[in-house]
Amino acid sequence: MYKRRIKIFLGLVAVVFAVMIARLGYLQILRGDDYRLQAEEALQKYELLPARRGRILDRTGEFVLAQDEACTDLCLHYRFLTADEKWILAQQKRIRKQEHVSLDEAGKIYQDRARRTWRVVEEQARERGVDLPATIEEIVRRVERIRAGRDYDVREQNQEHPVICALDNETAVRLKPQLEGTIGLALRSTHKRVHPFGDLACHVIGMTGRVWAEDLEERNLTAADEPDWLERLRRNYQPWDTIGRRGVEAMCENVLRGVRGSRRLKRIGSGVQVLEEVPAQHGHDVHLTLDLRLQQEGVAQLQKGGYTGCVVILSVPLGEVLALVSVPTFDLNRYSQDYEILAEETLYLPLLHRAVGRRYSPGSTIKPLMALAGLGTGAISEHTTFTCQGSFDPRYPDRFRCWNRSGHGSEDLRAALRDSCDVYFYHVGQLLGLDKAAPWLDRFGYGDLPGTGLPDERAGLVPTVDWMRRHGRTAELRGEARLEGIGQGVIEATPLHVANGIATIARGGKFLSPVLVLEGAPPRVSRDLGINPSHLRAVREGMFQVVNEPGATAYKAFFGDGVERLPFKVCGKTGTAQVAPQRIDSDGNGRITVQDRIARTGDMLWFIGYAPAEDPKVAFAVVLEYVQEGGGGRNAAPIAREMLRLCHRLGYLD
Amino acid sequence: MLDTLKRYLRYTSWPILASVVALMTLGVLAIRASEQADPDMTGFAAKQMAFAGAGIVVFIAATSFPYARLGRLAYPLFGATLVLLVAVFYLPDVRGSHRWIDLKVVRFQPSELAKLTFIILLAWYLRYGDHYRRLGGLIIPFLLTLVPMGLILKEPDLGTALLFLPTLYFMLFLAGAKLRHLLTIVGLGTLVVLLPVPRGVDAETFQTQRDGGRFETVQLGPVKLFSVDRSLPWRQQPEVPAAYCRFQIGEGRVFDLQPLSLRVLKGHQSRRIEGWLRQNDPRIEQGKGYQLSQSKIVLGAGKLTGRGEWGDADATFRMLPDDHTDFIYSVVGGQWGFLGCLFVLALYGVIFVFGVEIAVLTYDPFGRLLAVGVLALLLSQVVINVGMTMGLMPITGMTLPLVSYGGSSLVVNCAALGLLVNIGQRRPILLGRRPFEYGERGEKPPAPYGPLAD
Repeated sequence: MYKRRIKIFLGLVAVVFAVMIARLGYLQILRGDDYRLQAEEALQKYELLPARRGRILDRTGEFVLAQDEACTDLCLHYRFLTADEKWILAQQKRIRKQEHVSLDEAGKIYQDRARRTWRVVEEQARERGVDLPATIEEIVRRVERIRAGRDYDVREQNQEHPVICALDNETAVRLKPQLEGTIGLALRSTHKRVHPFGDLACHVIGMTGRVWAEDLEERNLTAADEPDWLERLRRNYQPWDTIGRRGVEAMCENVLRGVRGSRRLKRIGSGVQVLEEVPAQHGHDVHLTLDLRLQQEGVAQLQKGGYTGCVVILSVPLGEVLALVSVPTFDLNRYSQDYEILAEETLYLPLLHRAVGRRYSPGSTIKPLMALAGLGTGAISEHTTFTCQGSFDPRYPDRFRCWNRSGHGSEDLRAALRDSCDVYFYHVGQLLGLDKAAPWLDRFGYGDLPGTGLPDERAGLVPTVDWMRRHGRTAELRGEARLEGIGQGVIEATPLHVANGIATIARGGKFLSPVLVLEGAPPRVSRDLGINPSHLRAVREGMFQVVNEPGATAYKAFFGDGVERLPFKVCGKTGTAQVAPQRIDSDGNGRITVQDRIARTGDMLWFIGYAPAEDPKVAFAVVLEYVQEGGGGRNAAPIAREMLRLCHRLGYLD
Repeated sequence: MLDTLKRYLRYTSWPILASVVALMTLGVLAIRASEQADPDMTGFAAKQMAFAGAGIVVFIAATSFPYARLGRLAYPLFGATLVLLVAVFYLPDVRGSHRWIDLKVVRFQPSELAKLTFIILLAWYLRYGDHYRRLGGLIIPFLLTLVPMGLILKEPDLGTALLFLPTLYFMLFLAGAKLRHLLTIVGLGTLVVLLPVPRGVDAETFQTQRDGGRFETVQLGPVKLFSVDRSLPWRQQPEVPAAYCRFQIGEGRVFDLQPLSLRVLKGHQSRRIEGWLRQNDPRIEQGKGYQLSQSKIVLGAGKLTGRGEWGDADATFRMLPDDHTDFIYSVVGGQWGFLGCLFVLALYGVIFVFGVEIAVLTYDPFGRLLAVGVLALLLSQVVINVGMTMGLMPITGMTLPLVSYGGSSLVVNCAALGLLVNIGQRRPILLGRRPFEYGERGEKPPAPYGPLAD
């Protein structure tokens, strides 16, 4: 029995050995070449080469508004940040070997170096006002998210992560010797977005930031589904990539971004050897249509008067935006540091791109459009006259008043435009009704987004009967129609809408959506509105008189005492929109109600128009917010005048 | 004196000794190869050489006394081992496990010692009587196994703990326990190990896995079964733990039906088993099966004759974790190829063949069982270790006897093989066939004395 069993045992040994030998034969002889290939592949690693983001320049190409500039990030190793015990032990062992000391002493040396690391990092953080714990928490959170659902270590766990970003060269050079005797610390060359003009055109340029998963979802940017994984890695966003957040940076993201390069490396011994390199394709530059000098002047003009508001200048023939000023501004170079303050400023809203993103009541600036609507639908003719006695119905002098309480008397269209007679346009509005006026306003682009493609844009609001019904305001239909005639009430539009509407008139009734960049702009809308030339002529004559006829609303601004005359004629229209005061949420219930404290009161002052009168080259709109005293002609028109003077000097009127 | 030495040399099993030395030499060479591949490793080969020297000394020591005396010490030795096994839990841990006793100069692993004292004890316990031919008689041998096994499992050291079961089985089998009983116990054990147990999946994990890919569902009455859509590219496939199935009753919680063993094992242990079960899944190869896939690469890339002019061998060895300890066989394969691997197996084969000869020729029951125990222990270690490096077995921490880096294992294995040779030295003298006894049915006639009698 024992001997039989021991034979079975020996037989079992033979069988097991046979199985192992068979497996060896399979692995080493049959598949040996495969495994050698796999070994080679496993030895290869890849490195991504960053692409430089394109610059943003003004139309002349002379002024750079945003560009990438080399700088240095101070990076900490992830495992150092998380105090990974295994990593620390490995470091201590390495120290033990390098310094030929015992493990205990190596531990002390490690502690020492770690302390030195934190000293360097903390000093820099203090100097730069970086919230260190928050930054570290963010890094850990991100890496954890990448790691989630995988049970193996990801690349990010073995990398250094930027803790203090964008150190200038001088600091980096100074820090370099300090790295001696630290651990887990590295300086990495990278680049940051620099804005040589600081706050100029800040809203148009927009900011960039580190990409978030939410960005990609929001903008459908994960789509690049290349079959080649390396190509995918090059094209797709990776954590820590830069993405444009607002303005042109966001709008032209695809033009600006470029494509990363890559490098295939092979580990050999302790070093690496480059096998193949695909160079990075740097991002393309984007030229804005803005003229920086006009932009500068616009900001200066508004700031000189202490106003908040906008200046928009459009070239009439091409629909290019020459200036898109929105005040208050903020410094793009300090955006990340100042973000908290900027975001909490709910009264003056410095981050808001007013020129395309804030809707205002257009006030009297809508009158030329209403006149064209009235003429076009046959509601009025060029010679229709209405008598103004200070209010729409003389029996009720306090309802639907004209701005001129004493009344303008009997006026035709041209005179009504010149004097900005409200009663005349109450009649026009009422004759048209909301539903006849709305398609006309939509044709001038009021109903759509302004059309430059900026992500900050807001569509205008043009009420229709249906809109009124949906908002439960059917009882006010007639009144609303009258109010719309003078650009008050529900109707709202951004300054760019208004400027482009006036440019359309100047262009002879041809609508062009405005364009802000020369590259990568969205497809343009172009339509001929088919307006009767005689109607146009009547309105343009009315607008000519606004500026050039003594006593008209804007005459003083252009021909008053001490005003240097412009060498060309201007057509314009003033506007003074009465709006509800701006309140801030003083009771902190998250809603703005009438109980809340009033923060800003006053009128929205407008001056819009085009020049030269005979052969229009530029159209403009100026808005001033919450001005207590004054009117469009007195406050806004001089700003427009100075802008036009500069336009002339720069040759935009030739 | 001279006479004793002469007899000692004459009855020593030289093939076994030669194989032991050859295996240790190959081990040192392989360790040197893995050391040269990794600039962060130094001094391992030199240390292993010192261990090998100690191994030889222990080997000779183990042949220098009548092995039967050891039998009387079986219980005290085993008791001392148990004390050491308990003691490790009161000593500071190394990387989370309590395996070592630090003796300043070397670190000693009591579980290695336990292997040896365990077979001595078992051989001593089973040497007479036939109580283990009854099912009830198997209780005590199993208890004697489960106590050290449980302690070692707790360290945790799954590999060493698992070694005890095959060793016990081989010894019981050769001692004459009934196959029926042994198979019944194996069957019951398998049932328990594979017993399906539900495990709740928390809603968040389930949701992320759902988002990660597609689950196909089958509704069976109130029970909804999920299966992963394997047609998706593997990156998009949700990662689901090894389980028989995943189900949901009504709209309640989602459960995985898993084998009991996976529930009991520590996280990294069940991950390794999963990595082994799903070897060719690239998703697994990057994570749970990384070490195994690297091991196969190193082993397979050795081809027939080893690295030769292959310049990337060093860098490839470097990427294999634990290549000087548990995965030394892969390095042997990478360094000397199929032929090298075959040679190592052949050396073990020599030990088995000559070891079995000793076990057969010995008539002393304690000697027989001890020899069998040593062989069973060696076989289990070789099979588990070699099997895991080539993907035939799940990865468990297990050294390749005599070859892997590590002093405790080497010395203990040398001691065990020394005892084997010791038994051989004291086998009965066979001067030749006894007159007229022709040994029917291959039975050899008994002889009264051993060559190195007590």
